[in-house]
Amino acid sequence: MGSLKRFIKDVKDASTPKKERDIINKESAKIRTRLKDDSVQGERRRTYTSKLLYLYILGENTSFGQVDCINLLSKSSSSVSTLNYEGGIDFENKRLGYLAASILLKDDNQELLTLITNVISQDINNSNKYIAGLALETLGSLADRDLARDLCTDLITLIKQCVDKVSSIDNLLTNSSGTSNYLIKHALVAASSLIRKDPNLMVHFFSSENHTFLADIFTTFFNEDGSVKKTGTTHGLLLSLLDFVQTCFQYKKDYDFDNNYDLMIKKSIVGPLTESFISFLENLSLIVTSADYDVNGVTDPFLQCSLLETLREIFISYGNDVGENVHSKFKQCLLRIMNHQGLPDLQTVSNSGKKSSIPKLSLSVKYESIKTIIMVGSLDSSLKSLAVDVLIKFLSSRDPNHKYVAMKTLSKGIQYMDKLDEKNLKFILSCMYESDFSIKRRSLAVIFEILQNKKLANQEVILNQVIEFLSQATSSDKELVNYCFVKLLETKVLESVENIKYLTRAILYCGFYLKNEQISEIMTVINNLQSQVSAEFIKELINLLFSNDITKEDKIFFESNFAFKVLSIWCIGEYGSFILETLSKNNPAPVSNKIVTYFDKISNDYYNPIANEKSSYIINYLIVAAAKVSTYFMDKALIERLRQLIIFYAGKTNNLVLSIKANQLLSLFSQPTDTKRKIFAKMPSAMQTTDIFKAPNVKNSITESSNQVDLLTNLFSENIGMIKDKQTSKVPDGCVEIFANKNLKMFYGTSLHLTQNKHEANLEVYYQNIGDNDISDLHSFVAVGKTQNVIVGHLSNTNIKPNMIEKQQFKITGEGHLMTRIKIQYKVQNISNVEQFDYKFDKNI
Amino acid sequence: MLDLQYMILLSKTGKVRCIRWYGDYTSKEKQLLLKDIISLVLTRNSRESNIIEYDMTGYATKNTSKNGHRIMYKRYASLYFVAGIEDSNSSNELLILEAIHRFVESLDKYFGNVCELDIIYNFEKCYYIMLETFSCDGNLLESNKRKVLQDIQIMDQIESGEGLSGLLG
Repeated sequence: MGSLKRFIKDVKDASTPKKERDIINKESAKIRTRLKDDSVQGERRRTYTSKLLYLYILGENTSFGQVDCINLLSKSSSSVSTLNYEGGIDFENKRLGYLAASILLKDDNQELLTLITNVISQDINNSNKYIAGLALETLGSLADRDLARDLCTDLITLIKQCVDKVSSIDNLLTNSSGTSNYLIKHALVAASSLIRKDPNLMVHFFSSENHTFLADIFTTFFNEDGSVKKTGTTHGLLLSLLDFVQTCFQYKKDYDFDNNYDLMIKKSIVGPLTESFISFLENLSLIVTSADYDVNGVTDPFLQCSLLETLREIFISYGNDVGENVHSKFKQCLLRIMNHQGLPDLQTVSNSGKKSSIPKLSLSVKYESIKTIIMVGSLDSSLKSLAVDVLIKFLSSRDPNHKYVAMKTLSKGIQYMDKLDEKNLKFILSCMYESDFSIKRRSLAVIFEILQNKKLANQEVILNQVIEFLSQATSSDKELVNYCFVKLLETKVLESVENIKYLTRAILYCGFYLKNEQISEIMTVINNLQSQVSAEFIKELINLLFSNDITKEDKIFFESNFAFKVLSIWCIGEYGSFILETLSKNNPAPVSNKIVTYFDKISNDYYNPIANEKSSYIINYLIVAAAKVSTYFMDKALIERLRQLIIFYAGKTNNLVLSIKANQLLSLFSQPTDTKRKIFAKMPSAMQTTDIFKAPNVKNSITESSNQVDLLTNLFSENIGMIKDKQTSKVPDGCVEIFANKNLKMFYGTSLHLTQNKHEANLEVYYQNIGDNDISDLHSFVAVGKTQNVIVGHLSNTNIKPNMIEKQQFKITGEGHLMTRIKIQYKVQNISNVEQFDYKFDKNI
Repeated sequence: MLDLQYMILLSKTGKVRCIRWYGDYTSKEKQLLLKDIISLVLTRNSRESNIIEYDMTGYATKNTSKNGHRIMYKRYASLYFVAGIEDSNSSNELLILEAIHRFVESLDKYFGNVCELDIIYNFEKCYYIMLETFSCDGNLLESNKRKVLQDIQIMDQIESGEGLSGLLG
């Protein structure tokens, strides 16, 4: 039998991965057979179990040996007298056995759990506190719902026994309080785990005979002045108690035993403990206790943070049940923490990155109190703005961890600031250039938060900084650039004559990072701008595009800037009259020339529209723009060049959608100029929002078809606009009313679209809301004669506002007399209605 | 509460030296997560923070609903100590880094100037220190440094047969 050390060394020293694998496989097979052998006991069994654990660390399969760690536990307790616990062997078996069990059995092993239930329930009462502790730890990590229910009352009994023992004996027998401390600590952790498994078990911990047990533990072991009552008591006990309390808060939503959750919590926790916790925290944050709890001069930041977190939960959920004086006590306590432990000079401190680094200061408590102040709604705003002020100071630290937590919290806290001074703003803005991606992203979130809040800082300053950031963006910042664009468009800050120039610049710097959907979104935004704002935008764009003095660098930008290209093409098409008439001061010839040259160049660069999605996307816009802008050209030769361009794509049969579109455009090209101008007029703004904005969001694969819709709406924009208006208020003339009640009228369209030879009828159905309230969740079910089939189309909207009309199509196929039976379901003011009726046509299909 | 989901000791060559999972993950999830953790942690540079935001939405399980996974790590000589949390709103990243440091301090005291080899060959001891430092639900079990070491030493003594009833406090 090789030793564990030998095995570890062999694996470590293996010269190739293959050799390592061989060693592991060989050993693993050996462990498998030896562990099955019942005669292997004592040290040899322990060695194999240790090896099994080592296999686990290596990431190997250990399922074959799981039963055997249980074997190690149960064998020892039956074969060795419990009186003999001090004599090493039993303890050795237990220690390793429980360790192996709680680690190896962590993955779903319900069958094996039942095997150790008995051992655990015995061992949690073992007279050796360490064995009891190990059993409790294993119970906590492995328990499932059933085991949790089985052992819950045992735990409560154990805790109560320990507390009773300590409070009944006098101080001479101090050892026993140390044991109780250790046991209660572990028992409370196990109890938290059981509640996670089954939140309804809370009812046992807070039942009428147990409801004081948490308060009893606190008052038995701790004084409110931040010290402990009994020797041997550690803060670990209070930590576990707070974990238990927080677990109870966390699992509130899953507690459904009865409706008394809040009552229970108030009676057992909020009422008796809130004030004690505050006192304890306040004293703890001020006193300097023994070195045992010290972290860089701060007394037990772990306990302080846990107290703060617990109090935060209490004040968020039960603030109204806590008295006025407790409120002000909490406020005072927080204020003292904020002012105490003054911030050291953060710029000289750095504790990350270096090897064997030791944190030089503890900001965790301060950070926790800042979070608490921001999150507890009832605290007043002066305290909140103080907290945010301290938080911003974190940003001046050289430690990126401080920056990270500050930025993370600042996005929630910045709203409590009245004004940002220049220095603080500088700190925030500088974080955009951190090398840590998370800090960058979060600082941008904060910056956009500030941008929307005009009182905090000058918008122009911030916009300039954002654009500056975008101008320096590299390909690794792609995600951040996209985030900026989404935010810039979402917040609408750019939609004014003064700010629109930032949009042009943003596109110029970062257009090559943008996705097609975002380009379409920008079009929507431009299209919906007020005319003088969009005029400003077009002016800048055309200037950039055709000015003669653009530097080389900028040229390179244009070359690769896809979004810039698409947008400029689209703008030339949409705003042709403005560009050629207003902007060029009625001397359109030079600009017309440039436009055609530009279009030809684009066409050359992307001439193969089937090649990729990008090409077909840009060419789609190119041919529409060519057709549109041609109506404002004077020069016949140039118009002909544009026509040739469209002809080129009309003949491209490898992209049918595009080819169809080009052909349609060509047929319109021959119309007289006046008609053309009408057809090719600029899109109305409202239309855009519904058609372009939504379509690209659905899915990439739909992009092509949505482009076609786009074309049709372009062509018939006026007509569609009219129909849309009608739709919302009036049923088309000549419709037949087929049903009416107090809420709803239904109509069939006059035209049946009968196609006799196909035996098919397409019915238009209109639903009109004639009541005063919204109709919601409208559904209709249609039945037709036996010889026929019906396909029910989509209802344009299942919710209808008063006086509005929605549309649906029924397609009936088959033979025979045309008739329908319709059942409709809908809700008015949340009351369901069902109606059914028949309608017969005097026609056959 | 720290609410750690795991504690992993990782060598700078990407080998796991000690590992414990506190959160409920399936074996498949653990595998994927560990793979990502190793590559993310090893490629960090010193100018970046010790907190990595990690998107777990790629995993089709119950854990995906919470989208605030963070990986926190600290490097000591050739070893990385890595801990993870799920819900980032209530968590205190600075405190977790301090908890990691506390654990390392205990290892250092126990072994006396601990190095990677100590942990490789004595991973069980490392687990025992972990057991006394962190509870089974990934929280700090004891904040008293002296008490943690004392308990472990007493257990070691009982194990080696030197157990004295006087020590069993």
